Amino acid sequence: MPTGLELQPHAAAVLGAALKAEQVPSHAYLLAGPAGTGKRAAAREFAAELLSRDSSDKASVRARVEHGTHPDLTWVAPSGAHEMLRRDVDDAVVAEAARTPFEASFRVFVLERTETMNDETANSLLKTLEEPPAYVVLLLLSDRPGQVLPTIASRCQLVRFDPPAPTALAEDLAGRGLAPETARACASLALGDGERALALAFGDGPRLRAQAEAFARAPLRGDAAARAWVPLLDHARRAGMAAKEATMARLAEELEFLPRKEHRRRETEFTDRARRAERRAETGAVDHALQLAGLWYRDLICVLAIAPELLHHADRTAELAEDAQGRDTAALRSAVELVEETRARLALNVSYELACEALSYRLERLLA
Amino acid sequence: MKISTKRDALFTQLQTVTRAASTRSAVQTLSGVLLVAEDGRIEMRATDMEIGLRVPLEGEVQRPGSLVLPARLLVDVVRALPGSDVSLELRGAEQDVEIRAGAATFHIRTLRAEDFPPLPEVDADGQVSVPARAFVETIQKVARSASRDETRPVLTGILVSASEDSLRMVATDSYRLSVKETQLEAPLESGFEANVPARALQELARIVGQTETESLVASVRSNQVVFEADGVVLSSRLIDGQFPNYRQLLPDSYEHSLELVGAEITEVVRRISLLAQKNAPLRLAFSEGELTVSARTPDVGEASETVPVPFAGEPLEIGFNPDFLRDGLEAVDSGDVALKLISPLRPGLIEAADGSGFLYLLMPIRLNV
Repeated sequence: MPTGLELQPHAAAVLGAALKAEQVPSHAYLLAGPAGTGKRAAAREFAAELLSRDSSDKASVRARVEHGTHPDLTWVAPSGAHEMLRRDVDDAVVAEAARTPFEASFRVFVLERTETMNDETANSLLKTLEEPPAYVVLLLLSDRPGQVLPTIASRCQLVRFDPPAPTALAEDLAGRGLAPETARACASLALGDGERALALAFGDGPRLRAQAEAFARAPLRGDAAARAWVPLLDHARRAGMAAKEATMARLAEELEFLPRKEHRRRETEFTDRARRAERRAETGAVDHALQLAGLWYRDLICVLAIAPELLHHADRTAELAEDAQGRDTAALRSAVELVEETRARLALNVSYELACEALSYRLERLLA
Repeated sequence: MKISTKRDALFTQLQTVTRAASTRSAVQTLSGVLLVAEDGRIEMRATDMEIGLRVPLEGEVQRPGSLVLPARLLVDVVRALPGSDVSLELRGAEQDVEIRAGAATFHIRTLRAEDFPPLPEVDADGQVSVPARAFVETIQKVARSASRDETRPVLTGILVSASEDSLRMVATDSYRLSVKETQLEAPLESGFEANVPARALQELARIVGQTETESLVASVRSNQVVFEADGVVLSSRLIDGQFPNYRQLLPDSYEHSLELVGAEITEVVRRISLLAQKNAPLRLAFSEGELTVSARTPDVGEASETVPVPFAGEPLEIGFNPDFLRDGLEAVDSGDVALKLISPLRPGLIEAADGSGFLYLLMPIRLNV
């Protein structure tokens, strides 16, 4: 069994069986489960085991897989702001899969965020996914397996990654010195994503929660004009800048080792990539804030239904109770839908400012 | 690690090995050259994860070890070094290499040697020794027909098959097909067949071209092919998948078979092609005893030239891509060319008339008028 999969019985059973000596692994796996459940680590571990199978120097293979420098491991992350583009897979996967391994007996291709593949990308990948050469193993990763195109999912063996139970997550957070109520709230708001729970509990997390809460509560008071979305968007912009800077820092590092004639091409490529990374990080931050706001309305419904055990914002019961007074469940349900609609629209390159403003006034009209 | 060597030897070998160093990979180490000094021998290695090169270097090993240096920078530095002798020494504490030549001293930071993948060893099993010249000439005949379109990976390779007494290479990009069969003077001990990336073979041809070596050792394994010539070892991944059955593509018989003077017809095609721009076809109009080659680019101009040819029968007009036609004619390079045709919409065949075993099948372009 690959190490690190103690909490993932299904993944351990499927991947472990494939790694047994003399076993031929399936040609494609879909590693599906919420973020923070260890899919990436499992994919890397699986690759390390498989690629070192016939190697005389297993430690070196493992180290190079860790560094991402093994010639028979290809790692593909979507380069589009919100989707995996055809050019992400054409050269790296479709063309490369036809080339035999460089040193191992297998070639492993890992594709992250498979659900962001558009139809064109999926079509270009289909043939490779359906009948790859015998040495190819594809590992597709997805946080939202429900959104993976059925044509893709049906060609893979499913490997399920279960979210940790909220109680276990809360205990973990409490163990790190968080008040039990807050720990429960963060664990529950993370919707099964361990990393997100940590991010919500420490660092910028509490501030983000406060901002999202303010955004959700303003329309309830008929106070959309207070522009509660401004701090949210500032936060998102900072996240975007950080992502952009990280990409440009990588470029600076690479340029040192490239011949001068390659510089311009690389620079254009990275500027492009940085712009997308910025947009992706911004969307991620706005989306997260809206998700928290949506959960606030959902919690109000729970309060009205007298189901306090289902609350996500478990440490804000007094505020929730105050907001819930005299509310109409149907209106709140529409509010949740409005928030979800706006979230879905974020991927379409809308202006965040306008989207949030429009949402805020719509909510006000609905709720105040 | 510490070695000393001649500047010129280092520069020459470095230029060879650097061709395999990666210029595009995100892995820094691969833009470097690995120097290995052990058992009194020095070897330089580079790879871009597609092909790998191992090049020996004459010199003295004072202290064994290995290190990776950025390839382009090293080439530039060695080219500029004064004097005839060079010494390289790894300085462990500073994580850099001291290069000394004459009164000049360079300190260059090393790259992570742990990230450098192992390159295959040449092992005695399954080796086939082939004549170097014949091999390289065969590559040069067919390489231009290999596809550059990565969406059909199988066509980006050259199918190399060696049987007891002949060597055959086939390449096609689905518009044209080149086949070259070379008879070997001395029979091989065993044969092999592999679809080798065209780029690997072109690098091999370049390397062998620079040496005087007479024979070339090839060994094909399940996943790799390894060539050795004059101490230089080139390894490459193979291409998996079914290569088109080229025999099925060659027509059984032809309506017309003309013998042309190679140099003359090549010149005519070159000339007239100048006015076949923007994807315009080159027209070959055959009539009793003559051939008119013409081309027309709208808004630019037109050209035509008539040459006498031994053509008999109903007139025939056929269009070809000018570049592809020229590639085929040039590959025949000397001697007479046999041009075989069936009809305007069936492929034409260019063949070396001296029976040297070169075939070039070319798809026509449909002419609208």
